[in-house]
Amino acid sequence: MRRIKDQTYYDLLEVPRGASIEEIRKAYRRGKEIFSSDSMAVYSLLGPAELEGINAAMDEAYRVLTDERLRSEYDRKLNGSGEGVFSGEAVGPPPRGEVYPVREEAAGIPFPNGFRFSGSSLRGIRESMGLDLKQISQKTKINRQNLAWLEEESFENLPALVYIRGFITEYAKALNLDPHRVADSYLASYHQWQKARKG
Amino acid sequence: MIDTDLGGANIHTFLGLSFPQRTLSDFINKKVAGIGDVVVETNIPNLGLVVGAQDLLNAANPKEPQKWKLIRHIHSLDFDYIILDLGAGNSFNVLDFFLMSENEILVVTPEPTCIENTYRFIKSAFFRKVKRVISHHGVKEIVDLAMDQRNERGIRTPFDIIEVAGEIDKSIGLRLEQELESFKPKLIVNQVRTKGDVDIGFSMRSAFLKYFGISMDYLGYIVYDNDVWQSIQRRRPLVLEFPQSRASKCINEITLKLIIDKPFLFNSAR
Repeated sequence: MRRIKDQTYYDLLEVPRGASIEEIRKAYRRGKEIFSSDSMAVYSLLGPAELEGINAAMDEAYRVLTDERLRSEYDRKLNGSGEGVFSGEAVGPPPRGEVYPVREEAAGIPFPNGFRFSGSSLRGIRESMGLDLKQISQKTKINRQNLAWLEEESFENLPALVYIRGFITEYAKALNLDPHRVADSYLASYHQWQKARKG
Repeated sequence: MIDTDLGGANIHTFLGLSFPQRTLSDFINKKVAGIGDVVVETNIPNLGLVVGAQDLLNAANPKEPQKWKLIRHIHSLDFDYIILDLGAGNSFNVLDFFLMSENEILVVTPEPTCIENTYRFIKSAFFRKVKRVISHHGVKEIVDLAMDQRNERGIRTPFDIIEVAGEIDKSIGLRLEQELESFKPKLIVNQVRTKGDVDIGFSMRSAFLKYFGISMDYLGYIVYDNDVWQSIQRRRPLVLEFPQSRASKCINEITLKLIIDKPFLFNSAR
């Protein structure tokens, strides 16, 4: 949380430290649009002098970050000032919603290719980890009833597909499972159910 | 759902309830013991409603102790989700209900007047928050000063307040920094007609972060849709009356993001 004058060039353009030139160009163009004098989003917030200050700071950030030599000098300075180590990759907190470490094996059980993550197998995994639905509910913010229906594959009680995908993804993360793999496998049953229902 | 739009309660109408038996007025006027006693059932399974106050003068302007009692009682309710519908404007009542929430959500339409009011609202909310957590008289005066945008000391933003407060007492400055870090209102852009309208949300987020140091989550947008008008005419909730409408789909996506706490990424709008 820094004032404009204390922000790094990366903060100013809202790009990660390892951003490519193309990403920097895009971010700069967007920033210039946002902070132009006729921008609906800022006209009531910033006066002409403040806009000028922000624009000048963004111009300077763009000039330095799109020049390879100037940028590496700048990065060196940032690292030297204890701003964090530039590793060539995006530096910063992990994206939100990805807070659970993902590993292939939960509770020591390896899952072979083609393993079907059904409601009952998820319940089995959960129980083998000693977790109850209340704990999963606290972790995922999904209410207990919906979690129980997920495990029962009680699709007629669950909300629309978009929600089920969201629920199962979060549930998988809470069990340290690969969310994409679990969601794809689990939703195959949903699609079968849909098909049967439509006859 | 609790209709806390104290002067203009109308959620019951959206839900097709014409003559509610019990309302928030009964709680505010001490006709019932707890707020749980004024939760009425709706036609939607598992959705209870506290109908907004119906007596215009008393309940629309509750006194401070009445308001805090209401807030305490809302906190004590046992439901999966509690949704407060707030009125417009930035009166202390609206600000305090807004600040009591775990997810503070602002709905803005892409119009200059509305955007201007949203900025004013967020600033007022932050200043109100500061005044509630800080008891130092001198710092409170600084906050009052900042509310006047043309004050002679040039104190306008949360940064300015933190700086001046830090000069008065370093620990207060640090405390306010923490408050600013933890203040993360969420934004929805409603009645979107163009891609430019969608981008307003990102622009507001950028402007806020740069200028105020307040990081807003842009939850998403809801398209302008005639079905909204139709559903209100029929006094039925949009997502039930027209589940396949474009606006309903937008609402579903936003709800999902809220439930699983995911921000709306710039690229996903492209």
